[in-house]
Amino acid sequence: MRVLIVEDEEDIKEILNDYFELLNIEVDSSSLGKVALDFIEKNRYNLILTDLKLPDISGYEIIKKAKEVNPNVCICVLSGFTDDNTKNIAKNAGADIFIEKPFSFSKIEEVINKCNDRWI
Amino acid sequence: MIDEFKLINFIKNKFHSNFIGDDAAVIPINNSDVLIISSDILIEKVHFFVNEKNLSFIGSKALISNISDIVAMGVEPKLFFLNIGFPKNIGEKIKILIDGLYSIAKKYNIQIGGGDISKSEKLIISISIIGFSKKENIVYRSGALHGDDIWITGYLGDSEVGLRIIKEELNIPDKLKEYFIEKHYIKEIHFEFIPFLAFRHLINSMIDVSDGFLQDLSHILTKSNKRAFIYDSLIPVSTFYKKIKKFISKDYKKIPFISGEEYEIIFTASPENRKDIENIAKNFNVPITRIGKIKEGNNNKALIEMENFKIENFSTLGYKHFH
Repeated sequence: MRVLIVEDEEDIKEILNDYFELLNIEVDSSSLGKVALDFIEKNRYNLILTDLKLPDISGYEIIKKAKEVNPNVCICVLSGFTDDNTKNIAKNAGADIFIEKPFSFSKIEEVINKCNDRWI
Repeated sequence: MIDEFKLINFIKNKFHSNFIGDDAAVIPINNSDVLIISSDILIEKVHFFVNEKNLSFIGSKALISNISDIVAMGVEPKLFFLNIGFPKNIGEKIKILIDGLYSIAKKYNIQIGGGDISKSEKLIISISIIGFSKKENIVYRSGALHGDDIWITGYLGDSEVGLRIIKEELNIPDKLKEYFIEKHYIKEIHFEFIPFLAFRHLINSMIDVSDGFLQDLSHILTKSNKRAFIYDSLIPVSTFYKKIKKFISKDYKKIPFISGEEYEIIFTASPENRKDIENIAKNFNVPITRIGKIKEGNNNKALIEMENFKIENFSTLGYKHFH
């Protein structure tokens, strides 16, 4: 499994990065959307966790690009915005799972399991 | 009432001792060899309650707790001294306790070197235990490095559950009680695995879980001037523990973090050593789990952060005397 984390809050990015690394899951991370797009072009990811609000581009662009490159990729949105409108826009863009911040890692564990089921 | 850890510091400073501060004292014999000594005391009604059935368990546990201290420095213990005081009403039954002690000594091939016997109002057991090693193989609490993985052996929580059953504070199905009660008294010490990791220089810091995971981890962090992030969901619990979730409900997540007398080992190691550590653990058939990361220390931030909260004050997290 290979994971991409797109998150501009450094603490969260670091903790997520460490979590996957502890589980021996290959992980890349970026706090910038454009760098993430570059990662998506060059690597094949099973799971992408992305914030919606990034410093340079919106998370929706990440989602759209990721699905174009690999329609089977699992997209998980991590966001502090919990309104239905945001969730619907994310879903329409191609997001599979929506997790509200702050989150527990048991939620991330569920995401990994869902993605693994998809890939079996 | 005086705080236990403050008293230890008081004694250390009073004597200007460099030997106090880890699980055992490390005493140089020559340029390369060291003697490791640890001492412990168990007192009736403070550390245990005596009944008809548990004298053997008490003997076993007394030695296990001491062995754990030496192993947590990366050393196999070789010899121990037993000091014991007991009341008249125990009498001949003290031999049952000695049998329990002997069963552990035999299991780990540790010899008794001597000791003392006295009558006393309560049952008191004090053991000093000795090991030998090369000084470069000793692992201290103070060696944790930024970026280290935090590992734990075995599972956490069973000892506290056993204690609550013994104190009749928890009622679970009878067929499960025996497992937890035994886990409170007798734990498997990773007698060869841990010293082997130390011999291979694969670990940077280490401590045994005697007061509770969080409290004991905090000793590594304080000594190493580091912080830790712990992933709650990665803390390992036994299948038996999972079975009693509905009986302990609101404490289910908390107990593994505060359960004392587990005698599992917390150690930190470079991520580069993961494969070696996992392979060695497999060879020794020891379950181990990575559960967090060591971060740089920062006086303004909490020592331990977990998924949902931060911990700065450890005073209520584990067992402390005189609280």
